[in-house]
Amino acid sequence: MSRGKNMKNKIIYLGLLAIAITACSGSSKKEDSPLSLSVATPNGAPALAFYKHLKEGNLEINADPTNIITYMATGSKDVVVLPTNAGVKAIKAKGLNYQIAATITFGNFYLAGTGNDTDRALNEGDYVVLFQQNNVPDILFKYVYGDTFEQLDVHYVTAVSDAASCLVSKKNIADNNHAVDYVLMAEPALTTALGKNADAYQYSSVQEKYAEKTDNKMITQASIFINKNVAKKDADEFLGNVKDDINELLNNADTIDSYVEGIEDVTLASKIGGNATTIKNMINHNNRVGLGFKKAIDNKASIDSFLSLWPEIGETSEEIYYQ
Amino acid sequence: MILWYFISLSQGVGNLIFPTPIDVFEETFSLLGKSATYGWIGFSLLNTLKGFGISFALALIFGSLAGNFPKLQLVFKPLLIVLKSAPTAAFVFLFLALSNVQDASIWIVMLLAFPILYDSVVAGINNIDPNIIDAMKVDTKATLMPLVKVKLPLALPYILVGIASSFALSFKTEIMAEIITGNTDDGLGNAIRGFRNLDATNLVPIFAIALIAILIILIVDLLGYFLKRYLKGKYSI
Repeated sequence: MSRGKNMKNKIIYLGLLAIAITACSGSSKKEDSPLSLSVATPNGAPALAFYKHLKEGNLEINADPTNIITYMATGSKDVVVLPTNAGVKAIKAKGLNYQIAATITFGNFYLAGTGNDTDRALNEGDYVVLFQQNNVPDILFKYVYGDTFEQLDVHYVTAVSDAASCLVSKKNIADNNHAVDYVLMAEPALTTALGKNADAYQYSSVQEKYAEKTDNKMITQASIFINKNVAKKDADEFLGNVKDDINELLNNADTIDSYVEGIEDVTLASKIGGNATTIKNMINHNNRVGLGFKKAIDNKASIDSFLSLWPEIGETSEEIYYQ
Repeated sequence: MILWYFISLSQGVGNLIFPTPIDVFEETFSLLGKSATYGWIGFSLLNTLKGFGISFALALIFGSLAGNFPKLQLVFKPLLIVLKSAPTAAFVFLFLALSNVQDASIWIVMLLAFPILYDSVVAGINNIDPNIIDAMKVDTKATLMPLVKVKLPLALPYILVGIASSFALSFKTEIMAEIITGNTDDGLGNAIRGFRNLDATNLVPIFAIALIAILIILIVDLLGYFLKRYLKGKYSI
């Protein structure tokens, strides 16, 4: 073989080798793609499901779930995430053009003791602080502690942040600094508050007590609702991606790091309820934020059981489920 | 400051209700040393300026019309009553439907600022010396030129009072609006929410942001003072 031909062959072999190396070095993970649908979600745990898209314009995280119902009413978003009871109620009452597709949060409520109650048992006369009267936290507490509720000295505060103040200070400032025995809390506020009051402790998990009372059904706290105008192919792809993203995060909490890089801690806390360190701790400790994914149609029994806490909503029919 | 200090001590629970001024000032300086703070300030100020600017332009138009044609004041009165008395929270959902969450707060600022600015333009024109108006009518039958060259400059003291009283209120409203519209992207209001989520029992950063908002208004007031002096000299008002 002449020298020229030899050199030409070497160049071809090197080129093929380079192509082969490039092809093999590619990641076996699927590429992250931006959100193809417009999404509105409440902040906190539901927003955490979209951790890969926090910097995208197609995702709106709103701190007030009632504002998201506005988007549902106007049909201006392809996907809305709402408290399951609020979303189903809106669909049934107003005939809105959405279907419940999946549940992504399964409860993050815990009853905490301040350290004031010497017998460390919830019983008659104990002073209990709840938040969001007549909303999900209050309704769940009444359900799981229904037998003792009337005997308790129950007082309400507006938000979980106010409840956290009661847990740390051991008193209710809004009630003349009355000593508090127990406080209903939500994560991650609970873990932060426990770190500030050495006497405080977690008394019980609302999720566990709910499961005991309902034969192991789940609290279907927040769910994904999809606009019926969205093409099935796009909806299925969206749901598949959300499921994969959630499972990836639950299997390895450190996954979140690369997606929140460059987002200030304060902004992150406003969106997903805490900074990256706090969120990772929640996930690594038995998934205390209650994140998960379950297709709604496969979970109808749990959804109906949860919604039975609101008698005015009634049982759901299959036509409001995305299939 | 001393009163603040004693109130915070009297509460006995430290930063849970009323942090001490020392803690707040320390946190304020710490926040002012971070670039993110200026992003929050910029977002809130920009939205305030947008809402305020649109309100001012509309107030000049409608206020000039009402000032020149008194019967129009009666026509506009019902609208002004609605704008002044309607609870803002009732309109949040409408503003979210009309625009996106980042811009909804601009509508809320407009809802607050427009009536105040409109009233100041109308009051300014109505309080011009009638002799000047009569003299103008002798000189010309035109409407627009006397309005722009004579009436509005003479109405300036009232308009400046309207601007001074409504801008600070607009800025405060913008911060509140960021919270009630649920915006989680940027702004001082969103920062307040973020700090509450980071640690619900620590009010020091919340008070620090309030102090930063006050400082911004003081700076704007100072700029307004110099602008007023310049305009006084230019228009001899």
